[in-house]
Order: sequence, then structure tokens, then C-alpha cells
Amino acid sequence: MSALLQLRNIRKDFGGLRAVDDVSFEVERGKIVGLVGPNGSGKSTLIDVISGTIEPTMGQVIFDGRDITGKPPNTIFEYGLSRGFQEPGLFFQMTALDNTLLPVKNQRGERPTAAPWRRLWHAQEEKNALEAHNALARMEIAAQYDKLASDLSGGQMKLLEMARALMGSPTMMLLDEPTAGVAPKLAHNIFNHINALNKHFGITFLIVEHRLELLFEHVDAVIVMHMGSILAIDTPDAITSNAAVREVYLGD
Amino acid sequence: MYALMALGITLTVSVIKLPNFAHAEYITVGAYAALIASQQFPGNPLLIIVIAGTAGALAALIAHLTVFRALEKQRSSTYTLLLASFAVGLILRYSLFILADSTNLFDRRIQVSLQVLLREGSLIITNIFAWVVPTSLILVMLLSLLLNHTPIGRDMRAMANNLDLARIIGVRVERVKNWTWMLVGLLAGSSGALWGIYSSVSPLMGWFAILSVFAAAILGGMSSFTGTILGAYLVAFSENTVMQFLNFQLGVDFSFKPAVPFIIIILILLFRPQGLTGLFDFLRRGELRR
Amino acid sequence: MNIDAGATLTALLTLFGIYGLIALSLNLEYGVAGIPNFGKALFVSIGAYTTGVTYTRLLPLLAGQEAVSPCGMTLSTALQLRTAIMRDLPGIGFVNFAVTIAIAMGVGAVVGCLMSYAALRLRQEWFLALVLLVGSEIVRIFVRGYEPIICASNGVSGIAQPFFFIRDARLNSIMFMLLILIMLLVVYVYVERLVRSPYGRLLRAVRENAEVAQAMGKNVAQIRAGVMAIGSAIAAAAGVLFALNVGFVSTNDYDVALTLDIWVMVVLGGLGNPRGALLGALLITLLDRFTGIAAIQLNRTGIALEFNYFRYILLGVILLLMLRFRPRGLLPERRHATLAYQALESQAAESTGDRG
Ligand SMILES: Nc1ncnc2c1ncn2[C@@H]1O[C@H](COP(=O)(O)OP(=O)(O)O)[C@@H](O)[C@H]1O
Ligand SMILES: [Mg+2]
Repeated sequence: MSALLQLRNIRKDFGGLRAVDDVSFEVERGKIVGLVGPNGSGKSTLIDVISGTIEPTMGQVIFDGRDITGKPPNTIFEYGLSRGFQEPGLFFQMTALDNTLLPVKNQRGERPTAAPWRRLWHAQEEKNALEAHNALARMEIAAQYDKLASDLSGGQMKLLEMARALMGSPTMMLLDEPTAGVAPKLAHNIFNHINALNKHFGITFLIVEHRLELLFEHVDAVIVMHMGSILAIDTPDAITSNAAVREVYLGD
Repeated sequence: MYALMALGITLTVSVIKLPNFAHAEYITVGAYAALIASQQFPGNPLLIIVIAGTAGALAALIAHLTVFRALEKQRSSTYTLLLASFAVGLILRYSLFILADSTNLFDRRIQVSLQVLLREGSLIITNIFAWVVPTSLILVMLLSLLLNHTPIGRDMRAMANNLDLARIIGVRVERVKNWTWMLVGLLAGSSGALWGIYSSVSPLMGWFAILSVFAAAILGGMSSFTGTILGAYLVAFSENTVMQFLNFQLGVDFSFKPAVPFIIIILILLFRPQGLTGLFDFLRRGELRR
Repeated sequence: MNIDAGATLTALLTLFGIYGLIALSLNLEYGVAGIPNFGKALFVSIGAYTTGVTYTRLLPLLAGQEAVSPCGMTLSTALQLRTAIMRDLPGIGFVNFAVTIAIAMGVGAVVGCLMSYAALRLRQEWFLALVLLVGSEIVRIFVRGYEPIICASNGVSGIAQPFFFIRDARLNSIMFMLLILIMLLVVYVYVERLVRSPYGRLLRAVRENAEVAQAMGKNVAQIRAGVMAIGSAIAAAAGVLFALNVGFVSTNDYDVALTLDIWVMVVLGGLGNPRGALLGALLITLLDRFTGIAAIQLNRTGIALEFNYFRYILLGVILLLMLRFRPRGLLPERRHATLAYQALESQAAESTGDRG
């Protein structure tokens, strides 16, 4: 069977600046893959391209056997590819529970024609609410369910983002720096959760991360980017001893 | 005339980041200040214009200090600021109505003794024309000098470019904002006076013109000076000449004339949001944002 | 002249009903979904212009009469004709009313939907506000200059409300008021239910961060178009009532001032809370009436001061004070509006019950 996510010769230009240059790689189903590289090397841009937030200048993105290049983000989400944001992309003036309920697919009560009639969606909503509560519990933030997202701590926000993504029952999650601005202990915790989701639900992950040691403990493969292109793709161990990568990162 | 008013809008939108509808009333305030001044000192147009500019600057500064600054501090959305500018406009406009009512100053023209300077066939140049046009030009030139060759102008350009960056490199944002508002008010006030000399003064004059002024600023791309001035002339031109043409050729009634600037706004925003900028290279010269 | 308390109250409640409807629609669009509809007057005017058209063209047709052009020379004949129909044939009057409301809501919904797609092309968020504002004025100028709709700037008069056949003026205006209040109640319940449903949650999410909502699988453009369609249909229905209430359709009633009035109501009452919209509508209508009555009284005592000016200044001051000190309005949005919380609470209660 072919890989879950395939990138073919992706290029993205911002005016004269080539942020991503001829990037191709594959992510196998069920794997956790890290995406690393110095600041400005084009990681976030690549995530934006895959998730449909921006269109690539050139190239193709294939997900689950479908060509998703240039499809709008909502459609790509429907196909089972979910993304997190580098800045927490929460609905800050909504509660944790409301945040978690939003991505649930096929909600009858979200249709303006059905919404006024409670009996049409009431059973589904109750079921979703319990599931959402379970998702929050899985991330250990169930007690905060009726707090506004803006009142949560930085780490809890990241956990809430993952609980929310989980409710969209994705096949694959793209995470952009899931531990940015989080205390080291909680960072460990977040990666343990990622691992658990991978084991339990078979969710595939592509993770942009700066804490390399932590990342390397959990991933099956690492992609290194530098100035828009791919420098190396290998196992964590091989990457650690890769001379070209060491040069970019450590200058030796 | 639109040029001066539209330059004020361009400055506010790019430096302060606020689409200010109360701009209309700074114009009217200036016109009324000029009208009252002209009754005290007839025959001294320069003084009248200076008084009008000061009045406009004061109105703008006070509105900023009492309303907009507080709202910006509480991180209000653009819509909140937009609404607030409507509110400020309402208050100023109807205060002027009360003033005009109690002193009987409706639809008055600012009296400057009229002299014909030159008569060449159908071309008549009066002293009014001789005042209005050079004053506008001088103001535009002074503004351009100020922006390009003074520290405060440099700071304004920095803020127009990138507010966060400007803060980081040490621009004293609050102070520059105060100055910008005064400058904007000065432009609005003096253009109000010029307009009052040219036609007549009423509490609604600014309000009626504001959307045309926005049209000019938007046509100019809201980032460059030369673009704004050109935009202003195009709007004025299309309001008059193009309308006349449509009337002759297609029988379009003159009652549709006020729709012209509005249609310009919609077309530009939808199809060419950068306005005229980038169309001609020479327009880049007066740019606020580079 | 003494002020007739009963008639004043009827007029007040009628106006409250109409403004309440419009405020509910703006509350849904801006308060809940975050769409800055500065073209509210346009959508109200769609209802009014529809009324102008149906009451001058459709009404005689329904009554089996010869159509008479409502403008120009035959103006007074046409006026008499439609007044006679409304007085003598109440059934046809009601049918015409129903058809008018239906057409107005349909046209309103379509226009609202189309206008929302303009947002897709716009670069900065406030451009949409400006486009709606300006679009509203363009339509007004067009209708004012184009005779076939409502006789251009002359307007159309003699637009009678459906209870006009009742001869007692007091009774028929009370009936009309009741009709409006019933419509207000229906719309209020509808909007309140929307706000408390998953649909309300969806709209709030789009308001807060459209980009993230889109990444969560929501088709933001379609959602915005939908809510604009609902809001505009409500506003257009209110526009029909507005025109029937003044008995006259003229472009002058539907300018930026109307839009601003509605905005003040919504900001005053509470963004995102339908009850807030009603409270705001009530307070501003009361304020209007009081300044109106005060103006009459003052003029009788010989003070020649235009009270209208103070009304606008007051509106401006209210708006500024609210934005500065209570940006969420008098009745803020409720946090736990949806059913999900009840589900969780009842589950929590059950599980403690099990243990006990
Ligand atoms: N919207 C944009 N417009 C112009 N340049 C951009 C834009 N987004 C990113 N860039 C540029 O693209 C390059 C890659 O950025 P990014 O993908 O954010 O890097 P990373 O996430 O690896 O730090 C940077 O040089 C950045 O300045
Ligand atoms: Mg990044």
C-alpha cells in the first residue's frame, strides 16, 4: 500500500522569496514523523501548503490516495487531515467544551434549518458532549471544561488543541511546534499523549518541533529542512550523526 | 479640494490604522471656524485658513485623547473603532447644527472680498482662485517635506509600514499618534476653510463629502501621496465630466451623480484593492509604505 | 392638545416591534457571527420597496382591477384605487400582505447572500463594512432616481396596513401592533433557539477566528452567506412593516441614520444576546418618543430649539460610553448557552447518584 501523505515537488514563492523549494517526501500510515530545521527554513509554510491554507506555486499533495492540492482547508479536514497552529488557534472567548465540540463532523444542529428544533439534534449533541468530555479527560483537562479557552494555561491550551483535533476523528494530524512556550515537564507529557493517540487510534503524525532530543525519542523518522529544501530524511539516530545536519545546526 | 481631505484619510488609515468617519466633521469644524473668523477678520484669508486648520487639529486631537486612545488601549476591534468614529462624527455634527442654529450660520459662504485678477475670454481668475489653488499646493508640498525630511515624518512612515516593528526600534508611538492626528486635523480644517471660500458652509458639508473623500483615498491605494492626489482628481473628474458625458450620451439623470464615488469605492475594493499604486512607477515616489 | 396615552403606547410598541426585528437581525449577524453589516438600511429598504411595488401593482391585480400607473398624472387615481381595495376587500389585503412579506424575505435573503460573498474578495476586515455602507447608499440613490420602482423621489403614499378595513382607527392600529408583536415574538424565539444550538456555536467560532474554523472543516463563506440570508430576510420583513406603519414609501427613510440607530440598539443592549437586542430596541424607541414629546412640550413653551440635534448627540454619547465602559452591552452574551452543558451536568449528577 502507498504512503498516507505524499508531497511531490512542492514549491512556494512569496513574491521573490522561495520559502519552499522542490520538496518531496512521504509519510507512511501509522508513523510519527518529525519536521525540523532552523527558523525560516519553510516548515510552517509547508504545513500551510499541506493543510490547504495556502496554495503551492508548484507541486502536488496527495493524501489518502486523493490529490488535495489547492483544495480549501475545510475539505482537507473532511478527508481526515487535521492541523494545529503555531500560535494556539483556539476560540478564546469560547469554553473548552465548545472548542472541543466544534470540529465534530455532520452535526445536525449546525444546519440553520434544523437548529431551531431541539429534538432533531438533541440526542446527537448529548452524545457529542460526552465524547468531548472524554477527549478532554484523555488530555487531563476535563475539570476545565466550562472555562474560557483564554483562561487556560499555555500547556492546557496545547492539550485543548489536541483534544479538539481528536474530535474531528482525523487519520493524520499536522502539529506546528506543539510544545512551544510550554514547561519542559509538560512538553514530555504532550509527547506522551501524542504517542498514546498514535497507539490507540493509529493516528499518523507530522510534527514540527524545536526540542530535538524530546522529538527524537518519539519519532520514527525525521525530515530536516534548510532554506526551503530538504537536507536529509532518516531515522533519528542517523540524523544525529549526519554531518550536513550537524553543520546547519551546530556550525561544525 | 478632495485631495487635501483624502490625504488626511490616507494618513489616518496608514499611520493610525483607523478608518475615521469623523474626518468629515473635522472638515466641517474647520469650515465653521473659518466662517466665524471671517466675520471677525474679513479680508485676511491667510489668518482665516490658519485658524481653521488649528480648529481642525484641536478637534482631531481631542477626539483622539478622549475617545480613540482609550479604545485602542482596551484592544478594541476595528469595527468598534469604526463605530466610535461614527459616534464622534454624530456628536460634532449636531453640535455644529446647534451652533449654526443659534447663530444663524446656515449655508453661508465665507466672505472674502472678491476681486477679478485676470480676465481672458471665458477664463476668469479671481483672488479666490488665486488663494485656493496655491494654498492647497503649498500644503501638499509642506506635508511631503514633513514626511520625507523630518524625524517625526520618518517615524510616521515607520508606523505606516509596520507598527510592531516601529515600536521595537523605539518610535514613541503615542507621541507620533498625537502629531499625526494634529496634522490630519490641520489638513481637514484648512481644506474645510478653502471649501467654504469656494462654495458654502453647512453642518452637513463634511458628511456629504466623506464618501467621495474615501473614494479618492481608496482609489489612491491608501498608502501613497501622489496616488491619493491623483485619486482625488479622478474622483472629482468622474463626478463632473464623466457624469456629464453619461447624461448626454446615455441620458443618465443627474440625480445619480452621488452614486459615482460609491461605485468607484466598490469597484476598487473588489477588483483592485491596491488602487492606483503600482500602475505607474512615478507614483512610488510619494509612498508611505515601501 | 393632550397626549393620548393609549395611542402613544400603541405607536411606541409598534415601533419597538419593528426596530426589535431589525435589531435581532443585526444581533445575529454582528453580535453572534461577527459580520459588520453597515448596510442594514439597505435590507430594510428592500422590504419597503417591495411593499411599494406590490401595493401599487399586485394589489389592484389581485382585486381584479385595471392596473393604473402609480406615478405621474394618474397618481391620485391610483391612490384612491388602492385605498378603496384595502378598505373594502380585507381578504385581498391580507393575501397581498402575505405575498409582500414572502417576496421581501426572498429578495432580502438573496441580496444578503450575494453581499456576503463580496467579503471573500476584500483584503482588510473593515472594507466589508464600507462596501455594505456604500452599497446601501448606491441602491438608495438608484431607487430615488429611477421612476418605475416607487416613483423616484416622490415616493408612494397610501400604503395601508392589513387591518385598515376596521373603521375604528384606534382598533386597527392596535390590531396591527399585535400582529407586529407576534411576529417579533416568533423571530425572537427563532433567533434565541439558533443562538443556543450548535449552529450558534458555529457562528461564534466563525466570529472569533474564521481561519481556524475553516481548518476545523467549516465552510466559512457558506456559513456567512447563510447567516446574512437569515438576517436580511428578517430585516426585509421588518422593512415591509416599517413601510405599512408610516403608510408611505420614500427613499429618505432608509439612509445611514437608520443603520446607525440599529447599531446603537445592538451595542447598547448586548452583542450576541437576543434579549439584549430587544432591550436596546426598547430603550432607543423610548428615548425617541421622549425626546419627541419633550420637543413638542418645549416648543409650546416657546423655546425654539431643535430637539432632534440633541437626540443624535445623545446617541453618539451613548455609543461612546458603551464602547468604552461596557463593550459587551447591558445584557452580555451568555457563556453556557448550549445544551451540551446540561448533558454533562446531568451525567455528573447521575454518576454521583450511582455512588450514593
Ligand atoms: N505570508 C508570507 N509572505 C511572505 N513571506 C513569508 C510568508 N510566510 C512565510 N514567509 C517567509 O518564508 C520563509 C519560511 O517561513 P516559515 O515557513 O514560517 O519558516 P519556519 O516555520 O521554518 O520558521 C521565511 O523567510 C518567511 O519570512
Ligand atoms: Mg514556523
